[in-house]
Amino acid sequence: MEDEAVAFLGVFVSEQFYYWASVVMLMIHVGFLAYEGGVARTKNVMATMTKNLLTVASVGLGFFLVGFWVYNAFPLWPVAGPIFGPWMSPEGLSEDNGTLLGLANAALPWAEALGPNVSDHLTPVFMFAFALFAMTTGSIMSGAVIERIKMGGFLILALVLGSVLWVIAAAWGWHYTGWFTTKLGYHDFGCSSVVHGVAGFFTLGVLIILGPRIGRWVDGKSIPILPHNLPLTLIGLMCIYVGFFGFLAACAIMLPEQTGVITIYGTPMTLASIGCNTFLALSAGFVGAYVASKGDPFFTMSGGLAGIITSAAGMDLYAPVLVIPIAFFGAWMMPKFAKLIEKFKVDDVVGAVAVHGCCGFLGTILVGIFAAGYVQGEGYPPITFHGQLICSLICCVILGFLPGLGLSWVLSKCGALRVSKEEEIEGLDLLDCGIGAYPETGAIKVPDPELPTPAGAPATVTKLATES
Amino acid sequence: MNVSPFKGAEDFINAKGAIYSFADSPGFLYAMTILSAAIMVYLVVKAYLIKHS
Repeated sequence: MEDEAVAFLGVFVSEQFYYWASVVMLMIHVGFLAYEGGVARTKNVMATMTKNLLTVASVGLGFFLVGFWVYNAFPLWPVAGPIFGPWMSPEGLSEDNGTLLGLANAALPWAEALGPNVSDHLTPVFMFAFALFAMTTGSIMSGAVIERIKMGGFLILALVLGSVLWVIAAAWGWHYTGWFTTKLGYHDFGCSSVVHGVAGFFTLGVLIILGPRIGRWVDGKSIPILPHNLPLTLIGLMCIYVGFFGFLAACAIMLPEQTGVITIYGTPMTLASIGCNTFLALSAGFVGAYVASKGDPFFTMSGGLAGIITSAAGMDLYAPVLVIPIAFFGAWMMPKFAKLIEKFKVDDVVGAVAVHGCCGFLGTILVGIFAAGYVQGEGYPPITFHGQLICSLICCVILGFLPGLGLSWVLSKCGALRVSKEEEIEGLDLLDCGIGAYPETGAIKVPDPELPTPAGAPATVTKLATES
Repeated sequence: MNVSPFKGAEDFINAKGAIYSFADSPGFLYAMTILSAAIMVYLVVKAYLIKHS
């Protein structure tokens, strides 16, 4: 009995760890909600924030229905094995492939493992943690496209990105049998490319088709459209940072009967060093963006995220004194990436392509320099610069940019991507939500003949200026 | 290029002690420490120099 209790304690620790790390990760979405709401103009605040809520809803459901199975079914395909699914029989499979088939079948929405099941405390909590990763990809895109995208079009894009594309990248490059790692030595501990690179470059593809907001460029001249509430964006980003401590902690693998904490690749790590390196990356990132942008508050506050993303891929293998210059460099480059993108008249409202796409790509290939030579499994190739480069390009271009461009083009041709010029000028709050965020701001007093008043004078009610 | 302090997978997976890159190159890490300190000083200096008026 005592042995059973001790064994269950190991299970309970794992279950609790992923449960609470996932709850902390939810702060990423609280942060994106506030950040994007602050960046939007007053006429688009409610639509922007509602879009963030629906990102959680759509990607959460899509990941449960499709994404979790894709992650478990695709790690070998198309290079090292088949797609695993319920159509396969375990007979005739090798022991390793039989295990993978079991994991894939346990990730199906109707699987016993995902329901209340006293013999499996971990599969549902892993699904919970992964779903939060998935929602992050949708939230990365959502801020870039605000103020002119159709809600339905956005949700289709978020579903494909969050439930399929990044999950394939994760299966290939963030799985203990993923072919990126077994064939090319790929290492991406904190998902710099498999989450940030895919989502950032998918966003770039969408932005090219979507086009800039009306008034963003006039006669070829750039006209900045300023955030309506910069303090709200600052608070939002600080919430995102809290969430990212949970995100990176959840990248650690702590399973019952393990004798140490390991990465998804089965290599040793410590959770303590992740906490230390994350806050150093945050600090150095702020510095890099502050000095590169000459004190621009918008870039400075995104610099912490740029620093974390640039160092996340190798954070388990970097000494703290290496994280600082790497994070500084990534965040120092970020405003330059953003200005380069702006030169092509791509209207990325929150700098998602620069922060997530460019810094994610940069951070992944830096692992090929600053952690080169580690061998992550018997028979695997070592971490190399070219291995990191090839896999990161597959993530960013093949699973990110091209699908974003293609899917947006199809939606655009169907008239399902961008709102009309009139709707954009009026603002999306009334179109999508039927109410503005600040009703008093544009309120007028109109007589209401149905309300009696003691003095006999017509009562007044407050209505939005836009109401008839 | 090889900055891993380990010879192979078994060595790494069963490691005891430091597992970070350049662990066997303390000179490089001392240089990174100086660079990190320089970044911190750079921030303070730039905070005085950056003016938007």
